[in-house]
Amino acid sequence: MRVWAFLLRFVLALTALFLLWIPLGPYYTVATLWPLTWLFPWFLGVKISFNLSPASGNLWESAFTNIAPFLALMAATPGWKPHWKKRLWQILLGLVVLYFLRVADRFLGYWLTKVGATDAQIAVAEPLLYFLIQFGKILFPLLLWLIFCWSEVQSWWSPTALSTFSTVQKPGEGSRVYEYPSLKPFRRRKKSKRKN
Amino acid sequence: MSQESSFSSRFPSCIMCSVRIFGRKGETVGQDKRKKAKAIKGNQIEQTSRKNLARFLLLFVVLAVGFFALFYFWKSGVEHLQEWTAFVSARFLSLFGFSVQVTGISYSSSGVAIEIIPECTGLYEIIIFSSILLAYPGIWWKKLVGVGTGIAILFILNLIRLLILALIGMRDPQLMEWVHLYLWQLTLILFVVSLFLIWLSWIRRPVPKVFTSPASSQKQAKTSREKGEK
Repeated sequence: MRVWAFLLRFVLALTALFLLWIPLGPYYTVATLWPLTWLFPWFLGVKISFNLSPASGNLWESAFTNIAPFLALMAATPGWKPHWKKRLWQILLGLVVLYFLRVADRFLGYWLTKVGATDAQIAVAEPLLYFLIQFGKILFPLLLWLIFCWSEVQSWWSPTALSTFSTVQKPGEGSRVYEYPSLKPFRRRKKSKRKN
Repeated sequence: MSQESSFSSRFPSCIMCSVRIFGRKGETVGQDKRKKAKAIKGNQIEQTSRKNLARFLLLFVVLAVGFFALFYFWKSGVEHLQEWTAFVSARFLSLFGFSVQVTGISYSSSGVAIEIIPECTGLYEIIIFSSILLAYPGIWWKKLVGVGTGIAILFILNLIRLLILALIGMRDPQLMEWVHLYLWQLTLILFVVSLFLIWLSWIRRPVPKVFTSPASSQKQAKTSREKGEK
């Protein structure tokens, strides 16, 4: 039930962000272009001029698909009431990370298409660019959400579990107790006994 | 629950991740010895869980990047997948009475031409989904069942996506661009998250009895017998 409630909140948050993004997206585009105006002269000694007026920014370029899922996931996860301050910090941190990833992929994109790079540089930069553009937009929001909200997600199934992965050792008991037999922890190396 | 709340009130959570911070050097946990021992035990559990979480996330990233690299450099394989996706989605469209022409990785119908690029195959969503399931600590057969079912569902959803896009494109090409770039990309992420959570709820279904090892159950039986004698 909690999962379905979460998914419903997630869809609602995505819809709200979608509506918000129509006026705000172009500004974000400009914000991601701005660092390139000093990054290119600094790194490559090349100056590139960009049209920094918000009207020029298009919504797609603003990488909505990167930011929106992260914000929607964070907004939909329960636990806002007791930890709202922490959540806001996490969102801010996540946005900064996603912003710089976007700047990085734009830098690589412009470097390869407009400035021109050597074959050796292309061999390194191209896979990285594809990774950031095509794959990173799914991977990074999800990863950030898992890092920030994992214990909340875990608690949906076991509200009493103290630890993630629910491997709770009962006081005074030598063996491990698994609340869910379907869950096994990662294997641990057995400590070798030294022979005297 | 009470143990949980007492811990959460005593120890702050890490601002970076959602796992609580315990056991700083020189930290006095409480005046009472029992409280101290309890906190140390909590500390040990939390440290283990943090390690497990870190291991899970690291494994997830390594698997995801590894699969991405594999498919990035295995271009012929991805091309076959593109061709296959184009062929299946064209057949899917023809089921609705449209005449569809397929040429390699693209197909056209009623003035709309759709080219299947690697992103359109749903491959990246499948990679993310598979990696997260494989990285999660659990029983292997449940992981494999989850991965297999998830791939099939994601592939079918991707076909539905392509069908809807083609249908929209026949009526309004501009709207198709919008739906393609915004709505469907987000929807695929939604599907990945949903499938992962549904899988998680499947593997984490609470069981009535707590599993204990044979040694501990013997010990428990012994103690209960002793109590009975008393």
